[in-house]
Amino acid sequence: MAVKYDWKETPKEYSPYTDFWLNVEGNEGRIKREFGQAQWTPDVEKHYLRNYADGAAYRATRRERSAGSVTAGISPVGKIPLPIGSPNPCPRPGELGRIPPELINAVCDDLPEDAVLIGVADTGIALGHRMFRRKDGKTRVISAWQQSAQWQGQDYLPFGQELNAADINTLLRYSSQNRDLLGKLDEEKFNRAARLVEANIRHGQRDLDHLAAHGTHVMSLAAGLDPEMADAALLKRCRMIVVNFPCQFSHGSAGNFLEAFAAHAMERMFRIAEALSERMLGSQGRFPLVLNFSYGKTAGPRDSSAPLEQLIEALINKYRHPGQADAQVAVGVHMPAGNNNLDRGIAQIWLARNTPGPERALNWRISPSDETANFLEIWTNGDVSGSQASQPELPTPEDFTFLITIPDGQQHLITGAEAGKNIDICAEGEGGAIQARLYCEKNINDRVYFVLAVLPTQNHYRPGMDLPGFIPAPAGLWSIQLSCTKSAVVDFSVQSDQSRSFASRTGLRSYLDDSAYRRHLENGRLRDSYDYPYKNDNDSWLEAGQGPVVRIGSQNALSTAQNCAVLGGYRRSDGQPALYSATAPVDLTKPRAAGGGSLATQIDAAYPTDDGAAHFGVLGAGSRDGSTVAFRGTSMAAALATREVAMAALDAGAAECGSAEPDYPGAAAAPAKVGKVRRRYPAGYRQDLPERMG
Amino acid sequence: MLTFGGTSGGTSGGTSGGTSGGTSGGTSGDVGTLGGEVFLTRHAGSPGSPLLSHALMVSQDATVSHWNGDADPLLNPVLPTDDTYLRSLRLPSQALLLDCRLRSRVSVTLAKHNSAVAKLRIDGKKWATVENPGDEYFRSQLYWMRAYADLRADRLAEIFLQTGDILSFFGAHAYLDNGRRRYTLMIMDAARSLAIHVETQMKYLLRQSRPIDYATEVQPVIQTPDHSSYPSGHAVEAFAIATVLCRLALRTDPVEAVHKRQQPMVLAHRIAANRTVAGVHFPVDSLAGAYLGCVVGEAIHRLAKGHKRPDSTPLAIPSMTQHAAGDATTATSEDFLLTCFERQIEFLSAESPHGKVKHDPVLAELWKDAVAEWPQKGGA
Repeated sequence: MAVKYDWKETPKEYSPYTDFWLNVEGNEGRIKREFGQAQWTPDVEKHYLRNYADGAAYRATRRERSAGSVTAGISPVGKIPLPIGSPNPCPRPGELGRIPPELINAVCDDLPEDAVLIGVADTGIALGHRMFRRKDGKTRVISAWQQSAQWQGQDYLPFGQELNAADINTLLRYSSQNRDLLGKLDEEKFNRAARLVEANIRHGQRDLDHLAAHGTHVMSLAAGLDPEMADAALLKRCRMIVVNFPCQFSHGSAGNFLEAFAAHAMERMFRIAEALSERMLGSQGRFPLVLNFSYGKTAGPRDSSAPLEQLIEALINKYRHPGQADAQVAVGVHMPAGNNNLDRGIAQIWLARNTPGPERALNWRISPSDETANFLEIWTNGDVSGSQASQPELPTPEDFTFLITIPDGQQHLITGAEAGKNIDICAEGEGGAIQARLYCEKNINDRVYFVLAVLPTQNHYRPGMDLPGFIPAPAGLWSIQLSCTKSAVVDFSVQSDQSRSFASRTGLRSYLDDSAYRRHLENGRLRDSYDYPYKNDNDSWLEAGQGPVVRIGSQNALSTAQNCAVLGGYRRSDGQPALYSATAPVDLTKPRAAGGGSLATQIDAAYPTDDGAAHFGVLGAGSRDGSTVAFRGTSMAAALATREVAMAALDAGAAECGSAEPDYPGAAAAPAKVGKVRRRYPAGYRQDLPERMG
Repeated sequence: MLTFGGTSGGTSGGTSGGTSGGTSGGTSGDVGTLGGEVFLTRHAGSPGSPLLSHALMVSQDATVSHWNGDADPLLNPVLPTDDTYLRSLRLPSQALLLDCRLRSRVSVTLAKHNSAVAKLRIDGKKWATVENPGDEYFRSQLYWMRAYADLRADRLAEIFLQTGDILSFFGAHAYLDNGRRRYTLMIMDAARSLAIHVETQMKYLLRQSRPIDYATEVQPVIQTPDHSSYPSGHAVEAFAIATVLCRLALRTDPVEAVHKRQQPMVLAHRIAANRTVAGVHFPVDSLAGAYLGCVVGEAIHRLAKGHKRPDSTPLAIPSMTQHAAGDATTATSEDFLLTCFERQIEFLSAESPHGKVKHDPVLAELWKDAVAEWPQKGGA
């Protein structure tokens, strides 16, 4: 039944995700009760914009866009949740972002001019590990910003607490046996004193209380060096700038707030590197800087226009060219390709002019007992296939008609979309409870996109409880059928979904459930996007009888910026690309016979992410110093790439085992999975291993 | 926790009972730490049985012939009057004797004018004082129950195994068996038994509800025991064992051992914390248990050596802190960490000038044997 929908304004300062979290899931009240708000005041935004006004444009406010000006700045996510006591209560624009002199002074005496800086932004980075320290026990970390730590009066931070090298050394000494930096470290004491763990704060960071922490493992791969075995000079030259993200709750279940934290982290790390460079090398000098950001999102524009991608581009360009046109310095950001290749989260359909989409609608399966919201991003493009002009006419919001059928059978025929507005999908009947909200937006490239946000399917709310009181949405198949008055290509992506807390299993990932999607090969093994050894692609697309859900194009939606290196994973024993390692986008708009599926090279390289079929993951540091855990995923590939680039910049092993491609005779791998080359473990990592397993 | 097995079984023992119980069961049973029954039923060549008893009866009838009840002049029935008699007992019997002698000297009483305070006494003298901090305090600890629950997935195996066995975890630090470390094991077992003797009475007197009694959300991953939450029995036992092990193997007193974070103490803390992770204890239960355990372990050392008792200091429960959270005010209290625990047992590093203690000769002998199992470099 067609129902008239009133499109209403989405608040300008909020992304669809933030609006949904605050106003539909009902967390506005909780913000006041449980969280401090790190709000993006106009002054804060302007401050961060100051250095980048000439740089990339982000999502501008609609008012500014219509006036013809574009405002550069960090993602206007609006309110981001942090524990009470974490946000700076009275940020002053003149102060925010400043690099305090004591941070520089703490290292300038022993930071060599040929140092290389490795930036790691992650959750749960242990600062006390021996492998992050020097022979004398002092830290190699230049600064560490714990973003959700209780604010300690540092005016230059919008939230959290930052420790410089001297602070870290003082805390190490305080927590070590006999106050000796080489003595046994009481890690429990150190972690709490450094506010790496704030177990007494609700939603405080606690990853290091677990046996394995993602950030510690990543940093051990990217920058870990054994102080007993490594050269003293190398230990001095290889230094880190660290940002510890808040705990998983503050990321948002769709990673929506994480982007804001990441933006702050990137900006801070670059600023610190710049300040150090200018102090040590002069105003034109720059230390080589390699940043590792082992995170991603599964839905996004994938055209380099995401705000974080734009920020990274601007930061890299500014760092690389400090006032001199020909100034070049090694600088890069490494990101994982993503682990969602098999998650059935990607689809692409082609809409002919005025013709509805494929006969069968796209089915989105949302699980019962899911305590997190689910989001589906729908990105539109002009159709470049066939005889269309090379610059396609971009569709506009009003060109689209949605027919959404929810699991209980109720249908919603939605037209008249407007960018910057949203409509509610409600239960049957007047005044029915909201079940979902459909947002319409445009990005900086004028691409129209929609976000279909569905409430969790389980809510433990009871009267008297301090929880949002929304009525859960129905679980099951949500069916979406789309038509357009122009020819268009539409990309569907299910957004990342994680539980509210680290150890919880209550956030269930939704997926696109299509009858033509084939999960397995004929021999029973899981199907990847391409054969291995590489000959053909295995994915379902554009052939008769095959559906729109694919693996191709599942690449991390935050990793498509030009200056980001994207790393995939492979299995070291036989070179097979990791099945979970995401696939780069390729041209799916033409049939294979007409050259469709031509290979892209958005993925730069691949590193081992599993040692063998029976050897899960790659080994790295656990939360406690001296412990070892195996982690699997392209996060590890990104960290290994960071290490290799840093070591090459340090001239510490470029000629050693890390540079050449391992030998897998007769077993080529698809470039859309592994990029140009599969690389070995870099120098200093597991040099005891033989070349091949078995 | 179970101490003795056999046909008269352990704490829930008998023919099917005890944590490792049954007809031969318990920690002193056939599979116990000291390898052998306490109450011997096995004969020289085979286990006891009605058949063997009948055969012996018939054999005696056939081979003895007439006997008017006179003693055999060739036999000397005199037992040694010195400590060599102890050596003639089997290990389980020595352990039983040690246990009885220690328990007989230790008592737990309520304070005269305060039924929330209990004292540990040895030979009537006060060695430790513990107070139940009250209902509001335990409510303020619920926050930690929530925080520690996140660690359950990591620690499930430890939690489950440690419901019945903590000694194996200490056995990972240094070689422990009933061969070359038999007396060390005996002392550790005695420490655990004495800890149980103390904790059982403390729990009865200080009686405190469990976390599950305060919130349905706790949902422990193991069965909540029926006895009082405060103090934690696991903490008393773990720290008592750690204290004697540090004395024997590392030659350190408990204060130094905690200060230096020596492995037995770190392990004892983890065993205690695992009970909070499991959802059956508050952190303050472990604080009180750790305090008592160190006193128990140290008492065994001083009774063995004849050293003076310490000037006892009562356990100081850290204060609650009130926080404003929106319109409400909530109270929180501290976690149990070794960092904060050091100062609670500082009194154990000194002796009271008037604190003469009568040493136990049996314990002294066995302690000496245990020390000898850990030869130090350069002797001593």
